[in-house]
Amino acid sequence: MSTALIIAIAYYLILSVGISFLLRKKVKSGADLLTGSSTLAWPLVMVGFVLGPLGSGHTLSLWEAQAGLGASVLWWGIIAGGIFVPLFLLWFGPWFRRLNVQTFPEGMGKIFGENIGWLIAAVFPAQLIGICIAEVLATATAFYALGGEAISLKNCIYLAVGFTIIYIIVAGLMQVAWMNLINAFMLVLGSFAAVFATSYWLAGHGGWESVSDFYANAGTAWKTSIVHFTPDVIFGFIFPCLILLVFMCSASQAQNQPMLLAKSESDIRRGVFWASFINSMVTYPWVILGLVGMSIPAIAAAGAKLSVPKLALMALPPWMVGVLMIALLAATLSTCAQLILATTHMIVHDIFKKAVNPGMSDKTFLILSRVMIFILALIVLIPALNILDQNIMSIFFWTFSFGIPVFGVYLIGMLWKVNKVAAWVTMLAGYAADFLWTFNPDLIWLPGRVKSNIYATIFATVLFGVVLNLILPGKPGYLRQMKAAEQKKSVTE
Amino acid sequence: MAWPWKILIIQFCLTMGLALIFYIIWRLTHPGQKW
Repeated sequence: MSTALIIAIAYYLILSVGISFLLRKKVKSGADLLTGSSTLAWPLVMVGFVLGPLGSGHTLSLWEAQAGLGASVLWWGIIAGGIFVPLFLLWFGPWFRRLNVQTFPEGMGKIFGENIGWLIAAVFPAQLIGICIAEVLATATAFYALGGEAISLKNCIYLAVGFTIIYIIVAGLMQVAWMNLINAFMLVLGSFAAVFATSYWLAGHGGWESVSDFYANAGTAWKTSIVHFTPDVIFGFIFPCLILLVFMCSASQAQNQPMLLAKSESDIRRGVFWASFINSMVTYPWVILGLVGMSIPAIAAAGAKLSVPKLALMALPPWMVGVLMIALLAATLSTCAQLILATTHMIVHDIFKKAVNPGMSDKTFLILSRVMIFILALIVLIPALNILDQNIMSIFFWTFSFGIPVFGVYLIGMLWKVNKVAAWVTMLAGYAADFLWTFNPDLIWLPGRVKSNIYATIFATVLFGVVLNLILPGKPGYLRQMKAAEQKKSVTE
Repeated sequence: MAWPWKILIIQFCLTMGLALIFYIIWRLTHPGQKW
């Protein structure tokens, strides 16, 4: 087994077991496990939130995508950190808290009627599991490639699922927050340290100029620029990033669940600048390392996916490869863990408790939640073992796009108007567009540059959501309804 | 300055600048509240 693999495995074992041991007595109920009982201050809320949407999309996918689009892929980080994070922590997160619900489907049920909540509670777990499969594969790739291919990819998948379970099984969301606090430091410091170490190594191999010269000689000097805007970059990368991050992530239970950790709404907002910084800047090292890797012919021959691991193994000392592996796993493992925990929350709370057994005791809720974590890990493991090297981007886009109509309807309902018919039709139209585009794209016409699930789903959502709500009458937006109810209450008191 | 450090500065300034703009909008729409 390689030194790097031993360092990474030892780190995650010590961290997971140590934090589980420290927090084991704090979890006495299902609410403690899945919401942290709303007791934490802003630093823990911030890290509990920020590593959730920061997984393989911020790391592995980006260093792979830079091979075609160059440093422009860093716009993913800028949009995530500079737009999605502030929107979520300043507005969407506090709204979710104000709804006084446990899950996002429950919140939708409160606004548009219980039935729409059931529909989303049925669809969202499948969506999150789809994303989780992709994250488990990314985690396994990190173990496999940075570990010098010392153990098989199948065994790396078992490792990835095993570490995901011990990330959450003892203390749930509270454990996620404390583990993320340490892992956020490791992610930033570890990945940037690898860039500085690569810079030091490059000094003896022609310096950074050798990399830019390589791309200039290949006629692709634009790859080392972040402001290279072509239609492919704008319509194929920047717009889809914006839509996916703002619409899908904002509707995801995995992002909303950490809001339940906060003592108050202001504890959600206070971490906004730190969260923006972390969410954006951690994309940088992977893309730079990928660009360096692809400028070395021996590494480029192995393909973009292996560019960073191969460069690390070539240029960095083994202990530094271990630190880089810890950093990469901090991104992907935390995302896997939060996806499993969020799915558990929706299944146990929305389906088992609300739909099947409203009188469920707290003890049963806690036991069921822990059992569900194991079952979901198994559900993720089986397809992950079977798809291995296959291209999973189609699964990614398909499952991600299910969040778009949900958040579109939510945004309209919160800010503008509540009409149940419009909400149902918009949601179903969005889902239909996503299904049709995935399985029979010939049935939907889209202009040349915007051919993807994301565009089909967003067009259907905006068209039906806006037109129907313009035509049909409805109640005022839910934020205004809540404000009016508060004012009425204070007058009567 | 080498190209990676230029990219780092641009990315940092764009991200934090956008975050600051959103925070200012939030403060303007929530008078009297700091957080």
